Amino acid sequence: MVGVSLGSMKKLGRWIGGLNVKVRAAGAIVLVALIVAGVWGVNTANSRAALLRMDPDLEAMDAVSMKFALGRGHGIYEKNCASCHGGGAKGDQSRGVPDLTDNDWLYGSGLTSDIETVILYGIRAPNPKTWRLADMPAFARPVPYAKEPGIKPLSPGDINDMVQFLASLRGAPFQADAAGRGAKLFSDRGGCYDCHGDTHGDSAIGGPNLADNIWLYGGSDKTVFQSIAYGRAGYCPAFETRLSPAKIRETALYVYSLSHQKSPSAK
Amino acid sequence: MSKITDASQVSLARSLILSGVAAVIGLGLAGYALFTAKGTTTLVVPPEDVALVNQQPVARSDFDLQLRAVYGAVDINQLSAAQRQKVLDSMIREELFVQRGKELDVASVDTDVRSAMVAAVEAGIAADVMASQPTKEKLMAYYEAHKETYSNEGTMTARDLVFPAANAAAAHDALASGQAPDAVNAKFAGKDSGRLNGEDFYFAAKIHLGDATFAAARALAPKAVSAPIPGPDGVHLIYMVANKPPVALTFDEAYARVRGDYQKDAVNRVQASDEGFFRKRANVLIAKDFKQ
Repeated sequence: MVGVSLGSMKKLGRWIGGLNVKVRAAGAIVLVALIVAGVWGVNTANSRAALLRMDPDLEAMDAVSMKFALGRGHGIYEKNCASCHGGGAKGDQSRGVPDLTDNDWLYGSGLTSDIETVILYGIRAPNPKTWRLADMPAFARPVPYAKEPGIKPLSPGDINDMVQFLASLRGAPFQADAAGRGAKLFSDRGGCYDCHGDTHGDSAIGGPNLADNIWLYGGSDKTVFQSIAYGRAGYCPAFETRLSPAKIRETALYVYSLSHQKSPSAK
Repeated sequence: MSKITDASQVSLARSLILSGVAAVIGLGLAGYALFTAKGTTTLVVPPEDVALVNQQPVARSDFDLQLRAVYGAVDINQLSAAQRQKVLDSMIREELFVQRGKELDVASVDTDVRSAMVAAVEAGIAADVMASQPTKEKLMAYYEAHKETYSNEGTMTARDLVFPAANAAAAHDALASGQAPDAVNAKFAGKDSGRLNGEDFYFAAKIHLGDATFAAARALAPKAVSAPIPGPDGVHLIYMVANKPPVALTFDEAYARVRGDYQKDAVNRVQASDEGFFRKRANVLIAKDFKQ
């Protein structure tokens, strides 16, 4: 049996009363600090637990959850994501790093759960659940896409035709006859329709929308030629084993907030 | 009392108090670790999990992913409790069977399991390397060291003309003197072989022409003509219209490839190092008749 008798409590009280003022003050400060730290720790743990138990897509609509997550998410983003996406999360076209503030999403539809999935498992990362269903073939190589041997190389002329077709989609100046040939190539030999659908892309496999004038690697004729000729396969690390589930959720909510600044929850 | 606070004097009470405080802190830390650390027994399902099966977690993120996979890309909040339960049951079943598989040491007999385990360990080793962002200086140094591998594909527009052996030398001289290929064809009974058709990437031209003829063609400047190349159908002359050799890519142009190659090399190094460590700590016995 472990118990504290009234007598021993009185003794403790007398003992404390006998200490000099400085020692008592220091003890009180330490005690208060311990209590504050304990309450803060329990409170944080509870908030994190609530954050994890709630559906992430509903959380984004919940002001309390967002307020708790955003402050923490920002710090985690700065430490783990900003080295590629930049402090302002505007990305870097020269390296194909996506802008996280424009609400245009290559993978998924921009829900917090989609963002969280990318953070967890990455894009083409060494993780069994990573998103790696398709790469952009390199049509100026003898074997454009090893996973699909049926895809054959294109000639420089073919690629230029395709560039003209894509210029026509984004409203840039284009050569009509070449664009016509490019359109045929798109749904024919090029096999582009397989990932890009009717040119509006397929977010289930990360096939970009070619008609929205948002270009991951820049939309000049030169960069579009480079993309078709030499392929693309962007990469995002998987943080499943590097960050705790709570930190991943907080980061996902923070990234979600970057493109939803006007929503009441993000205020 | 002053004895307790006077550090110059030995105090039994002070020793007991400090020991008590240390014990309480120690117990607190141990308790926290005991109920939160991985692999410890707990009766509480952690918030990041939906279930614990023999203390093995079924992650909430996996559960949500599975819900979406089973019921399509719908809002998972719209799913009924029965649908959720069905998925949870199937995940618990999977975990139970995985655990039984470990007990049965399935990996020792099932080649698929062995392959999956090897791949998983390799991926685990690679994960940390791939997640680290190499500095620009390191990538630049790697690019400089492997610069020759970063270039675009050369292109050529050439004509492969075939002449009767008796006319080949004269046709060559005519082309070399600047006469138009069509005129030379007409004059010396030549024809296009059909192997080339407009602008080609180097690799395609090489496939179309064959290694030896491509090597001759690659060296030609625009409007130049190759030496006669005998073939089964006559003597070939390659007339170059336009020739753009591969151009080295700048660091920025090659960035994605440089980063990918750098990390691939780093992964290979780390995997080799880990393999070395595994071998070092392993007790591998080799049959006498296999010893080198």
